[in-house]
Amino acid sequence: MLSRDAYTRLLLDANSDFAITPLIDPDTQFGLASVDLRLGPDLVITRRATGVVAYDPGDAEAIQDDLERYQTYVRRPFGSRFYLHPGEFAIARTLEFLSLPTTLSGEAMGRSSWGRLGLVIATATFIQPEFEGTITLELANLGTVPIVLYVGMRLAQVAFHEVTD
Amino acid sequence: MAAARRQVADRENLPGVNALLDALSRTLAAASEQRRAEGTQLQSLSADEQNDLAENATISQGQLQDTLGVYLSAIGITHGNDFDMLIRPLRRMVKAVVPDSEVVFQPSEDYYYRASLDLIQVLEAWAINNGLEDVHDDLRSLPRVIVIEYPAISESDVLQHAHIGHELSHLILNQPDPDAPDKVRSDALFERHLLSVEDDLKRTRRAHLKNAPQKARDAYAYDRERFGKWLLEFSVDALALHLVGPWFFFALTEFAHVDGNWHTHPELRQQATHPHLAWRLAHLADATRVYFRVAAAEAELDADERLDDEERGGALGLVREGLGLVKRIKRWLPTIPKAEIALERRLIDPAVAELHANAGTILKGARYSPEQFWIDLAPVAQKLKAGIPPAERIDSRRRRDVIEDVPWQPREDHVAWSRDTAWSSPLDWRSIVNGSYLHWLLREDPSPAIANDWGSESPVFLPKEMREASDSRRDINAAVRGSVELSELLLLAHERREDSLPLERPPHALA
Repeated sequence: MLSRDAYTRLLLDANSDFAITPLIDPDTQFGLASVDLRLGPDLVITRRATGVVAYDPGDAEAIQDDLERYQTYVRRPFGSRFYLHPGEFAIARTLEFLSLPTTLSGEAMGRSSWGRLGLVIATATFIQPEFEGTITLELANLGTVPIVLYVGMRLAQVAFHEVTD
Repeated sequence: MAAARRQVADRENLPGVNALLDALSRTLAAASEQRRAEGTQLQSLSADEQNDLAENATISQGQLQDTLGVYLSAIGITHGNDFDMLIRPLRRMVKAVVPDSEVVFQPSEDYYYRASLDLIQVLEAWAINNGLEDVHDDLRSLPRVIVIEYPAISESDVLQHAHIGHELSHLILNQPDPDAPDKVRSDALFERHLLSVEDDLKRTRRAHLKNAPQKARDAYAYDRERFGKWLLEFSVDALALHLVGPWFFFALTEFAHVDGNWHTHPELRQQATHPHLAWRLAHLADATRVYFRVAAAEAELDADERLDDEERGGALGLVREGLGLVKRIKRWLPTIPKAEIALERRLIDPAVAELHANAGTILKGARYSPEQFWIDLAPVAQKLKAGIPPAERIDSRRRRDVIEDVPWQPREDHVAWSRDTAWSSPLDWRSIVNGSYLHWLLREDPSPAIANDWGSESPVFLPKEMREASDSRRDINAAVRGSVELSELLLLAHERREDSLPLERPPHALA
């Protein structure tokens, strides 16, 4: 796992293609062995299903229709609130764009303090070397109280690992 | 009204629409109050007076309905997601040159860009006509609302949106700052230069129409108007270059390339309102070369720094090749015989040169200078080369062998944060577009061939798939949109740092 000094050195290396951009405030985002990532402005909210509905992977056409029916894309301004009610699920992405070199992999995870409120943040956590893009966050409120999230808030964290032959 | 309000209430990316709704609701409230007062007054009037009042009310209501139509069209069709990230930077640019203004960006079914005059003025006129001075004064306190339309079909094509710079320049020249010295006032400049060719213009017409003085006068009036309109077009092109950079020249070249009009009209048809596109492009090519040369001169000044060009992502190479590209484009343009436009050139060349020289004063903070272009080109090029979105400049990003052993440590005292000590700063959005466009033209798709029906005059310099819905074009547009969005988010976070402390706090307190 890369330490803060190690990943910072790489981020500041003009010859490296490792990037986390934009970094709004490394003072708060850089941990000893991880970097905090923020909630981006794009969200896909899943509405509560009415009637007898199920996502059935055996019926590709129906699943597409159901997704369109029950998922809504919204774009929220930076700093604005978003309520995640108990039992609700939303897909989001990080504000930061990540670019990983061939020698690094990453692991995205929630921050424990959010977990204590009942918020589960990421399920697809492994980031392959040479990945370029934002990290998809699957947000679910497993608690019993609504959680207020702000666009731009530090929500997840990512740790980096060296990939060796 | 309530429904329209609800629709846009929390959309901070629709400031122009919100301003229009403000104006509309104030006017409608005043109109309804006026109707109520008239209703009360009605009983004490004679039958004739009642008829007059009813007639006036109908006219006034009809005028208001017409205005409502214009407003609802501006409010009802809002820009799409692919345009969203451009709203903030474009709004900044508009506000820098037209203070106290708001803009509505609207997709249009037409294939051209257009900027409308202030829409609030329509309601102001209505208020004055109806004796509502208070409402008029109230409306005067609102920002001016400008509607800029762009082709809906090109919504996601950021590379073409440089034409917004041209439309914005029209607005600037239409409303010259009355307090500015004559030297930089466009109306004074136009008048002065038109005067300098007026006698020759009259003489030419008289010589051509010796036996028909009325026709000569008509022809002279037509020519004078044409000269003025042509000068305006050259002038807005010049200002657009200083607003958005070489991006405008390449976008206009693409437009000409797709249009191909002059190839089907070899006589180089001239229009009353617009000079021939080839001539406009030739003018702009010269100005763009000057722009690149200034940038290259800046690069020479940097020559003693330890960064060589490879470490700058080949930025200097891009500028030099950009110069070559402009030269090749100019060679491709159909030549307009100089004798045909000798008098026009005597007017336009010096007037436009004067505008270029005064662009900084006219455009104020909105100017995108060659120096800024050069400063930002290195990080943009460097990042594009590494496949990283060029959104921010990290000043301490250095060559590996000069990075300190422990390059960065977090500060304990977060309150001491300032933009000067921040990890990075957002790149100017125009640098992102200009750098990416140039990089794409010269690096990503270097195929020199282009299929066309124009015979031996093939423009062999343009990327093969320019202006086609190619994957390469879609990719560069998506990359530019994404990078501008990231850079704007960083800028916003810096601007709202004090307000956005809650973003840092929870759930820290619970830990």
